[in-house]
Amino acid sequence: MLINRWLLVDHIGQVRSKSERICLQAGPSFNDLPEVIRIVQQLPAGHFSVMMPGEPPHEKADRYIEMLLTLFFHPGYAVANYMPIIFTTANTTPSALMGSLESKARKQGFAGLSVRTVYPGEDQLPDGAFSLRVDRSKPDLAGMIAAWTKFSLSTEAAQEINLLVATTAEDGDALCSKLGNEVERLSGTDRYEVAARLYEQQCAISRYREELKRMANKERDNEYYLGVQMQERSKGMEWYHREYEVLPLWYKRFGHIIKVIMGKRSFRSLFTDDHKKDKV
Amino acid sequence: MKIHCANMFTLLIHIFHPESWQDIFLPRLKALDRFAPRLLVNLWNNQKDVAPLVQLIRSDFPDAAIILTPNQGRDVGGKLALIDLYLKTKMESDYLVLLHDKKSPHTFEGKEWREKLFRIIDENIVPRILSEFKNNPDTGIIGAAELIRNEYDGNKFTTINNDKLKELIRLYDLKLTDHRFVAGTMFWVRTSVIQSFFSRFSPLLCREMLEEGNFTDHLEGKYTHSWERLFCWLATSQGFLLQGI
Repeated sequence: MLINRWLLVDHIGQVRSKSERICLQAGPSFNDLPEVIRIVQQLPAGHFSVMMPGEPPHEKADRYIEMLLTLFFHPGYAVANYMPIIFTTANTTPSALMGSLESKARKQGFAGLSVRTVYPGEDQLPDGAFSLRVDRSKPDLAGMIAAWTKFSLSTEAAQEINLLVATTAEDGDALCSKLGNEVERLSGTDRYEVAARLYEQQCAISRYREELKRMANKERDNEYYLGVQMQERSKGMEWYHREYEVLPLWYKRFGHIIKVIMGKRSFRSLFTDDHKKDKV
Repeated sequence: MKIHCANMFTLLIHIFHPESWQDIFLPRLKALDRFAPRLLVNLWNNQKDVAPLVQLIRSDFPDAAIILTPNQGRDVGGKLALIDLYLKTKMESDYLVLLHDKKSPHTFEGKEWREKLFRIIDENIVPRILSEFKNNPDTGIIGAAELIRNEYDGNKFTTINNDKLKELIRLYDLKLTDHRFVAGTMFWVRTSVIQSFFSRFSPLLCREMLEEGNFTDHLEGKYTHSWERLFCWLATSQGFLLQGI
């Protein structure tokens, strides 16, 4: 989606609806992981993400990072180009923690992390930043869409617009609903339609690139497997020559006669080459 | 008749080829319905049709927990991610069954090998396995008897993976007297074996070492293929026995 609304929750118990996107503020400790996993399993694809803490974790950093990695594996976890989406707050998330998380994610086979820096609603967004924390008033969505379109025309990798509504806001649910109505209203405008199409095209390009990579990998695998099969066949042929082909002709002929006696071969086939030799 | 033994065993299934859910797993899992096993499934996250497959699995088994992981460590990497999920969610069951789709496109014997390996979830064999575990507390791991191998000659492992195996044995401080393993990495194992080892070495940390992408150990040793052997030694190094069925 061009515009994604996220409900920013402090703990997983605050999740009431399974239809909203949920961004869990990963506090400095992670006591309720089994419950988080249970909820994330129930969410639709890409409806869960994490806001990194503003301070180093209380527990051992490796252990804390592992809990995040476990969450990345769930179908409900949001990804962009197969990279887990992580929200951070500008200038507050410890860079060492982010560095370790990125490195650990790579070691698990991800291409990296897709980081979204979130700015407070009142701030002027820097160029290329489209993730906003909404606490009170409605943001200028029309202005954001215009800025997004302008930025996206100059780059292929613009991120979607993310609106993070804090459940601590005066009335988080009502605010979320108001934002939904606003997006609905804007979706009828030309400005939104152009932006939405551009976003879809960019997503399609990303998908095609991934498809291309996948096909190239498949081709590489096929060639590799074919090579292994050829090796196996070659080994089989070597074995055949070593074990059978080197035997004297009279010994092999004697073997054929035994096959006839055992009923594995017809007597007639001993005198012809164009007859099916073996009885299967 | 439904056998009501909640939490008796959990199936950890790695699927790389999407079609194998319906071709290989679904009929076999339906036949196990009376045992009410818990189901954890890992799929390749970069698979084109992964979202419909998640839906399909959930439509067949609504309580299944599903994860999507990058193709790292092939089925071994998938199984380690599933073990991580199992342990982190604090699930409880007496036994774990490790399975994968075992297509083995590089070999002509793939299908035959798979059929032998899958005997361990044959509905008629499962009661025998459960009874073996129940009657013999020393039994830690059970796999297809025909696929139990031993590559140790008293000094070294007669496999291209020898160096990596020795490295991992040192790393994890495994004390081995029985070097047999179930080729194909499909077996039943007591949950306590897994809990004991992975409380010291996290499954994701073990997974980090594994190789990415599709590969075999035809040309050089791999950590992934070494883990294929190591999995069984987690049990035997703790004093449990490996049994064939």
